[in-house]
Amino acid sequence: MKSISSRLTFWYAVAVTISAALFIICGRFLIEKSYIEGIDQLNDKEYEEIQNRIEAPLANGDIAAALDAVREHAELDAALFFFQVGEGHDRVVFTSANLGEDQLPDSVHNEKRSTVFHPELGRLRVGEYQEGNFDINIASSLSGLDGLFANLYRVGLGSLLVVFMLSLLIGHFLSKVALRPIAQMQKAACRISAQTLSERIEVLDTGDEMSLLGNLLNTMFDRLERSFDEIQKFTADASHELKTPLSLIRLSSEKVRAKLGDSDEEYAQLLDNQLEMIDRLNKVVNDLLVLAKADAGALNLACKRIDISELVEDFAQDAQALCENAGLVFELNNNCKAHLWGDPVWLHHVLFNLISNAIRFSPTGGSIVLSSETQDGKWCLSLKDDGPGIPQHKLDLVFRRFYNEPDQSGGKGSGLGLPLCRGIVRLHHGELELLNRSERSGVLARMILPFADEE
Amino acid sequence: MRILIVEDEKRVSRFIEKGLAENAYTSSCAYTCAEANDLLSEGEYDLIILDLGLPDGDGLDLLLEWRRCGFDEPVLILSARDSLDDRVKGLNVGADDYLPKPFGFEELLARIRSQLRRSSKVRQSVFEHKGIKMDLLGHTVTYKGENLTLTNREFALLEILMQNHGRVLTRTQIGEKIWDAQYEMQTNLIDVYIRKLRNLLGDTGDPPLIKTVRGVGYSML
Repeated sequence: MKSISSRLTFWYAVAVTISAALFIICGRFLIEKSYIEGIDQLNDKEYEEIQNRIEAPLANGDIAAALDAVREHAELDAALFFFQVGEGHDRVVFTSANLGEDQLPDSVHNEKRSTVFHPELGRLRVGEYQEGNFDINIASSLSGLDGLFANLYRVGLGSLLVVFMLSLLIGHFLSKVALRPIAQMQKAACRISAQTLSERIEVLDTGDEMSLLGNLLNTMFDRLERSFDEIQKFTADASHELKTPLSLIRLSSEKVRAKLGDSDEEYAQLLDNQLEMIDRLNKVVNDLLVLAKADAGALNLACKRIDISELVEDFAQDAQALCENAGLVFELNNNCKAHLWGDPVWLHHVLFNLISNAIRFSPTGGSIVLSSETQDGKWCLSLKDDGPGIPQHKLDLVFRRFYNEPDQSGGKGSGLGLPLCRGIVRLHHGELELLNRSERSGVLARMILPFADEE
Repeated sequence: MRILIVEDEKRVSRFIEKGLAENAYTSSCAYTCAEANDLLSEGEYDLIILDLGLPDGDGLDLLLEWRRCGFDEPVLILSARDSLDDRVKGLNVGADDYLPKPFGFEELLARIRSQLRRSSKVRQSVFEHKGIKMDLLGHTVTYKGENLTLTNREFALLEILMQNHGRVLTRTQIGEKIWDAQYEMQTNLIDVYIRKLRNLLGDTGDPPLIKTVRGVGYSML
């Protein structure tokens, strides 16, 4: 039972059924008590009648006449009462015919009122009365009560079953009603994403727990929206402030470079370097701003359903061209036929970043292997190169911002490529890691992304 | 040809204005949304270069307003915000092109030219230039009477070079057209394909069929 609603329903039904059962049990005891009280009163009345009959003979000391009087009375009331007379507690001098051969159990002696079990007659309620030397026991059958109980149990069990079923139904309904605000909140909260952060959960201001929870969530969304807006505004401002001067520097350098033509090689070289640095600076600024947004989860992805096999095929032709150009052998294993949910532009960005790293670190004549396969129900894309690999202790460093591992020719990247790629992959709920190949030297870049839901 | 430059950073707009003048385009500068609207109501312009971050409003809102009023001349957005959604938003609102800062002047010029010529361009499915014959429907290329086997990428690259012959195509423009690369291309992929294309065409002549324009891009003569 996972949902609160089903648990609530179940416990509600159990509680209701237990209360009903307790009610029935209490009722049973109350009935028994008052029934037995009634019987006791009848026994008492019966004794009074006997007493009237035997008072005179006993006063005369005529015991036989007294017993006759008792017998006579017992025959009259044989349908309702059982009688037994003893002299003292041990010697029984008379038992009524309806008791058959048996006497009443010994336990009735010395008890003013008791309930005993008679093997043939079932439960009996017995009263003991003293008259002169006589112990007179008058008993009434409790079979009526037992019959009543049997009915009570049968009907009780049946109705408990019905009560349980009914309370399941009612409980289900009640829990739905009680949890409806939560369900609504859940729906609203799911609807609110990076694009629709201005939406809020509708809260009826009743002051109850639900409205408190709703208000709390809304305050949280307020804060989230504010920080989203701030990062958006910050990146827009930073972008503007950094790029407008960069534009001017670039425009001026280009102009000077154009004017210079081929007249002065030294200055031309300096200007070319400067233009190159401007491009690099611009790239760093772009990457940083995208990273800032990705960190805040404020990078808007234009996600759609992508055929993984097509994506790989499309990328592979470019990878092939790049490898050929760099004098490397490219090998493709495209074995994953499924779909994923993602932004193709950013995924391409990640793929190109990985291949350009692999090419940078590959020795001439080396080979690069791109494999796309299904692993544990996810898409696993791996890219292997034949380069020197990464020292084990530096494997984590490569995802740090501005960390740079120089390649053989001493070239350096911006130090933001891999962190940005990892950020993008994580926004796609995936993971990107670099490992050293186990079978030989080289790096294995592995990207794992979840599949899209079936359509 | 008259061009309206809407850009609040005076030094940038002055630079563009001067550069355009050197290339025989007349231009006027507006520094705010209000000035832009004034200038537009006074005269006719063939193209507008629009910066998004203006002191008295957002360039996107301004553009939206123009398009609603039925203004349909090409608008080229110039913006420091080059995040993807701004770009998509800009094009959705009705911009014809989007150029992120910092831009090179040649790049801007190339885009202005392609905007101004766009209207006159007729798309044919078979065309020929310098002895190269392309059939877009049949996906075939013949050069000097010989059939060439081209990959999809090479074909697409050759197609845009041919259709824009005589004009410089910047790397960014090529990237956008072939790879839909809205974020900058991080490899020398375009150069690699150009080299492959040159090899296929046996392009070793002087001047070459496909000319490299330093720091900008390529052009088919």
